[in-house]
Amino acid sequence: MRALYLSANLANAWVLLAVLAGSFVMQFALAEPPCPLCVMQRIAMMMAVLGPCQTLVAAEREGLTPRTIGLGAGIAVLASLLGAAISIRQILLHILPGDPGFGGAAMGYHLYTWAAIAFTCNIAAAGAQLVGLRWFAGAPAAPAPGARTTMAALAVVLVANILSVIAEAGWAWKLPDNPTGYLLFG
Amino acid sequence: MLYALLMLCVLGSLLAAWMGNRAATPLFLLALAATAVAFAADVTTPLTISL
Repeated sequence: MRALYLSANLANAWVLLAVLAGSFVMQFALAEPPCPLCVMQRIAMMMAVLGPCQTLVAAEREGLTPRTIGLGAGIAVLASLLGAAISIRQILLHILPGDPGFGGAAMGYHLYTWAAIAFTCNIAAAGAQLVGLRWFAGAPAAPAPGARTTMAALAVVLVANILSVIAEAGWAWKLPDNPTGYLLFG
Repeated sequence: MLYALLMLCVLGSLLAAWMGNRAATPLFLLALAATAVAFAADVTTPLTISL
């Protein structure tokens, strides 16, 4: 059961990392700098990845306990609730008939719609973890394969996004509402 | 700069979790609260976007 639970956490983290990488690729492939709401959704998604990461690293250090599972699921739920609120706000901004929406679409939906779906699924996944707490908890501390690689991948995504947002905003405190380029480079 | 600082806070939480430091959860909560405040400020500020 421990291996299944840790694999599910790894899959959870990597799906979210893939969504983040996809948005980053679209940013450069379609030359569409992200708006403030897009950046905040990315931040919420990166915070949501912290949940499974915390659980994986805690499984190595102190084993799977109700506390470690609850902490990881709680982090995922809180971050996903904020992310869902931000993406629903952006969906509602573009809900009027005839509005083309912001940015390009992937498989028929804009990225903020995909983000709302991803956040909702993540909340459901965290709920499933909490429902199965009795079955998952109790495993002793042991190496969790892939935990450090996942955390390193999240760190790379974070650093890339920090550099991207600095390039986009220049030295300004906030991003423009409708960015069209990278202010750091003029 | 604001969003870069928020992401630095998330990065700090990740590094703390990596090292087993107890600051991981408070840093996460700080990043969450600060992002929520930034979102609330965005919601209550009139948009300058052209539709």
